[in-house]
This record gives sequence, structure tokens and C-alpha cells, in this order.
Amino acid sequence: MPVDKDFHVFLPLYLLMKIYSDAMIWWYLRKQNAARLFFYSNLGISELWLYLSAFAIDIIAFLLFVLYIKLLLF
Amino acid sequence: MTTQTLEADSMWLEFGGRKILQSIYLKMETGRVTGLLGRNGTGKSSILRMMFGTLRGQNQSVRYNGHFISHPYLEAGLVRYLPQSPFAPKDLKVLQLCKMYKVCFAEMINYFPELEDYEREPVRHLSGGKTRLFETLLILLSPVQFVLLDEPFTHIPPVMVEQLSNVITELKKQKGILISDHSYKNVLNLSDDTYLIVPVGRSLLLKNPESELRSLGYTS
Repeated sequence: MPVDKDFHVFLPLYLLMKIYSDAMIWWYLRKQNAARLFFYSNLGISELWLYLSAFAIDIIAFLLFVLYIKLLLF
Repeated sequence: MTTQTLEADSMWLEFGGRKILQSIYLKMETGRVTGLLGRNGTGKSSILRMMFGTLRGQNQSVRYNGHFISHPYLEAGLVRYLPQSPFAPKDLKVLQLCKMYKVCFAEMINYFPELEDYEREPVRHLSGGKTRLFETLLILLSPVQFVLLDEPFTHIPPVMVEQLSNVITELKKQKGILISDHSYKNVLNLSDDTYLIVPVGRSLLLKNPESELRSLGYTS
């Protein structure tokens, strides 16, 4: 993984890929499993909040992993 | 207990230029059961989802005690909705779901002792009928003022429909309950107020449900 000097080139491409793949997952779940979303709505969680928090957790976990690798290489 | 109201007004919904709803008024009150009847495709489920706040139409007004609220489901302790299809994640255990929804499992088995064996089982181990019953109870026993039930009697055997009707009658003392189901006799027996949705997307409050349903062609 390019975690060193090429990381600034890799990161925007990674984010674009994540946005695209998450949008595909969102579309698929809405089409195939729309009723399942009511589980979250009944808990007062909106669809947008649900997907944005999943996206944010994913990105944070990835950045923490990159940081961990960098510390190992340091 | 003072009476709380939840009203749906001026609901207008179109899909691709096809009118589904255009003149809807519906009122729920705590302490009362409201029945919603209509033929297939008249937009009953859409009304429930618009009242819940997850479906946006071209126009809608949902009011709680006269105050407009744009997304009722985001208001804590106000409303929960039972959709037609299963909604509970199948890998979660029955007790876990009760805790997440702040439902007392002991109260649930007080009404339906046969669910006791499933306390620590994941939802996938329940039969279709038991899943439907569990999900209906999960919504009915929720600590909210209003519940919207879309076809609660589907997949439930007759003896349990009778028990469930008793639970609804018991729980209406604490909350407002809206039921939409094709099993119209059960709906009529339970309802204090009954609305019929007629083409194209208009709601009628029935004064003499049995005879009006016949004259409007819903029953023969």
C-alpha cells in the first residue's frame, strides 16, 4: 500500500472509489431490502445518517490502519 | 390522561405522473383505534409511510396536537411503524431486539407465553407466523404514543389474531393505534373510527362502516 510519499495521490482515488462503491451498496439495499431500513427508522435513525455514519467509520478505520502501518515502518 | 392527536392532511402523492393520493385526511387519537381500509393499490401503505415520515410526497402535512412535524419518526417517543415485510435483522436475538426497542420481554410473554422459548434465539429461528407476531408486538409494546400497523394479521393463525386483537384493545388505553389490513372484519371489530380509501386517493370517514363498505363496492 502506498502509505509513504505517494499517499497524497492514493488518498483522493481511494475516497472516490469508496464513494462510488458505497453509493452502489446504498442503491442495492434500497432496491432489494427497503423494508429492513424501517428497523433503523423505528429507532429514530434516518437513512442518510445511517449511511453517512457507516461511511465515516469506514474512512476513520482505514486512516487509523494507515497510521498504524506508518508507525510500524517508522 | 389528556388526548393526543396525530393528523395526516393534504397528502398528495404521484409516481411518474400517476396519481396515488390526492385528498387525504386522517386523524388518530390516543385511546382510540383507527382502521384504514381500501382495495389493493389505493395507497394505504403510502399513507402510513408518509405519516411515519419516510416517504415524501408532492405535498403532505402531518400534525401532532396541531403542530406540523416534517419527519415524525425522528421525534423521540412519538410513533413507530410496522411495515408489511419483515424488518428485524435476522441475526439479532429476540431479547436484544426488545432491549433496543425498549420493550419489556416479560410483558410480551405475558400476552403470548409461546414466545418465551425464543428469548435467546435469533429471529431467523422463528417461523414466518411467529416472526410476524413478534415484530407486531415489538411495535405495539414500544414506548411511543402512536403506532401504525400495516397488515398486522397477515401470516398469523386465527387463534392468535383473536389474542392479538385483545392486546390491541388493551393497549389502546395508552396509545393511538392505526390498523390497515385486508381482514376487514377484524379491523371493523377493533376500530373506533374507520376510513376507506377510494379511487383516486381520497379518504372517507365511515359513519356506518358495514353498509357504506357495501354501497361503495368494497364488500358485496
